[in-house]
Formats: sequence, C-alpha cells, structure tokens
Amino acid sequence: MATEVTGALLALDVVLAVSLVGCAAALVATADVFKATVLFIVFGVMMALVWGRLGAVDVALAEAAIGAGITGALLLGAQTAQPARRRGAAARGREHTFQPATPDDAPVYQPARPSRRVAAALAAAAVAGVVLLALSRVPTRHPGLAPILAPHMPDAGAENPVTVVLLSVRAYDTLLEIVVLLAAVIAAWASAVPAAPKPEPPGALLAAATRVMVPVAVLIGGYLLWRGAAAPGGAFQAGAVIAGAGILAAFAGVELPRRGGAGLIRAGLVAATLVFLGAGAYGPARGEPFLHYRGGAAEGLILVIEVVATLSIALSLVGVFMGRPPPRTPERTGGDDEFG
Amino acid sequence: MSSVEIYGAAAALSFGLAVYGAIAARPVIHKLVSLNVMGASVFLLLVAASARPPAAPDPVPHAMVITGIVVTVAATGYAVALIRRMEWERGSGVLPEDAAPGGAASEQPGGGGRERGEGGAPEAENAAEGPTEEGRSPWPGPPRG
Repeated sequence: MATEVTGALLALDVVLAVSLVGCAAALVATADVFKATVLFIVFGVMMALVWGRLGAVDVALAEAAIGAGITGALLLGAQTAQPARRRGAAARGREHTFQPATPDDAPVYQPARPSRRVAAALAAAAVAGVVLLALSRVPTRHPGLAPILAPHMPDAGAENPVTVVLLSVRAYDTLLEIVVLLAAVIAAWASAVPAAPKPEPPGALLAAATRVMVPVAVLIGGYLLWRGAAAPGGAFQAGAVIAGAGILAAFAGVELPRRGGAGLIRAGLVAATLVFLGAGAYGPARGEPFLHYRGGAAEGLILVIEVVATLSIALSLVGVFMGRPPPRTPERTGGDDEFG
Repeated sequence: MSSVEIYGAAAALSFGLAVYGAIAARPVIHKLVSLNVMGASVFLLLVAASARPPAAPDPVPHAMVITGIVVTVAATGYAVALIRRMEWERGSGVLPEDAAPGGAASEQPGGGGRERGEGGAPEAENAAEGPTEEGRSPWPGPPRG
C-alpha cells in the first residue's frame, strides 16, 4: 500500500516537473508576448503545486498570490492598450486605434537573428549543465538549518517556523524587503509616463463581481494574516491577496475619500517601514541588539509588525500596479502636478 | 529517483530555457517574463536542494524564498514602469540593439530611423500635449467638475 502511494506521488512529481519545464519551454519559444504571459501565470500556478509537494506551504501561498497573481497582473497590465498610448502613435494620428506602432508591437514579433539564437542556446545549455552538475554534488545527508533555528523557537513569539525566521531570527531581511517594496513604488511612480491612460468605465459584471470578491478577498487576507503566527500564512501572502482586491476595486471605479485619500495612501505605504524600525528599537532600549525582541513582548510586536506590514504590502503592490501616484486633491487631479 | 531530484532537474532545465528566452526574446516585456522564470527556477532549486525527506522541511530556505518572491515582484513592477516609459519615449518596446533582425528594411517599411526622428523633440511634443484629459490618474478619485 505504501509503495502504491509513493508510486502515485512520484508520478505526480513527474507530471508537475514535466508541466513546469513544458510551460517554460513554450513561453520562451512563442513569438506572442501575450501568450508568453499567460503561460507564465500557468507556470506560477504549477509552481505553487510543486511548493505544496515539497512541504513549503508558506511558499506555495506566496507563489500563488504574488508570483502568479500580482506578477501576472503586472505583466498583462504592461501590454493592455499600449500601442494607442504611444507618443509616436499619437503623432502619426493613430490615437485611439489599436494598430501597432511598429511591427514589434504586433501580437507576434519576429525572432532574433539566427546567430544570436545559437549563442543564446549555447549559453542556456551551458548554464543548465553546470546547475545539473552542481545539483548532483549537493550532499544528501546534512542537518540543514533547522537545528540552528530550534533554540530560538520557544521564546520567539510565534509557532510557525517560517514566521519566526521572517520576523524574528532574520528580521533584518524582512525589514529591508519592505524597504525594497517602498523603493519600487517610489521608483515606478517617478518614472511613470506623463500621459496616463483614461480609465475605462467598469462593466456591469465587473461591478457586481467586485462587490462579492472584495469582501471575500479581505476576509481571506485577514485569515492568512492571523493564522500566520501558528500555521502557513502571514503578512506577505495576506498583503498580496488584499492587493488583488484593491486592484479589482480600482478597476471597478471604487472611489477614494474626497479629502485625504491620497495622503492616507502615502502614509500607509511608509507605515510598515516606520513601525518595523520602531519595533527594532525595542532591543536597544533594553540594552540588546537592534531588531532583537524575545520573550513576553515578542508576540505583541510581531503581531503589530505583521498587521501594519500587510497594509503597506497591499498598498505597495496596488501602487506599483497603478504605476503612478494617486491624485492629491479633487482640484488637482491632473498628472501635471505630480511630474512638475 | 526521488521527488527532490525530479524537481531539482526541472529547476535546472527551466532556468536554462529562461536564460535562452532572456537573451533571444526581442521585446523587453518578453525578456522580463523570462527573467521571472529564471527567478522562480532559482527558488525551486534552493528549496529542492535543501529538502531531505522524510525529515521535516527546512524553514530557513522557505523564508528566504518568500523574501525573494516579494523582491522579485517589486523589481518586476519597476521594470514594467520602465518598459512603459521606454515605449512612450521611443515608440517601441524593443531595445535598439535588438531591433530589426536581418536588416531594417525587411521589417520596417518606413526605415529604422523613423522612431528616432519623431522622438527628436520630446520636450516640445510634451508641451503640446499639455494637461489634457489623458493626464488623468488611473487611481480611483473623487468625481471631478
């Protein structure tokens, strides 16, 4: 019986592995960028299943929500109605048409020169060969890093070992990761195209779906956040799910508060960095290292960091997806004040 | 053969395929998709190489991979912003060194210099467009007027 189960799982492993490599091959080989993007989303979902098979449930949640979901939305968003917005296209009097500005903007583009393709294939084969060789030399018997983590678990303030690593043992990584997200928002907003696309009026289906989906997504996000202390889940997965709700709501034309909406968004974006730094000061205040919090206060600090981080991560992901800052006030909704 | 070896090999192969895509694809957005596959393959390799079934999974690589996934989406978001800006500035989503395989004439009837010519006076064109209806932010905002 046990061998039958093992055999079935091994077959599942082979199917998943072949699907992954097949998706990668197809998305690289196609000359259709849209098709490549859709295949990438499929690749991400397959990858989430693989994480589940490898016992990495936290990673599976992050991959499905961020790797496939938000990244897929970003990549698709980069392709929607682009040709009509181009300055070159506008100058040729092709505004509001969907004719490609150059042959490479057509759905299917021409492949690179044969010489370049051969060089790329050689480089790819060499890299894959070296990685396979290195993989065969990885020692199969070593204890890993879990024994180093074990002594920190009892007074870390959370039971999920991944949460302990992210928010206690290697909190520095996570603090800087949140700063990276903030930096990406600032950089994306700073390099935004001056002429923003006009938002499309939402269809009836989108508006109805949003009314159902947004509360459900926020509920799931809250659940993932709360469970993250003891089980797979946490701020990043929760933030990504809530960001999905935010993107959906924005598409459906949900309005910000008349006053202070943009300011609240900006405050929310930096909140996690500030709160994390504040929590990090708890250690130095007690004569311990920066970002060092153990024992009684750890649980509360981790909870506060995770709640605020969820908010900031969700806002950052929506902000990067929007690609430009929110309008400041009703009188100055034009993009000109943002770009000088 | 174990599941660890199967996924390790899959990670190595998809990494190699993505290296090919990142070099051979011409639109920058397609290169970006390939780069994302490269990243995901590295994460898979890291977790597969650290897995020692039937022992419990090692949480430290898992946390590193979650950090990596978030940093990747941040970098991808910025890259998308840069690609949009490049398309707006140049009128093309293809880098100059990747343009027109096998001669410009075969692909662009108007000649390869067409985009450059139009991009010659960005400031003037920018001013001419001015704060039109196009300048509205896609963020949901209060109704105007």
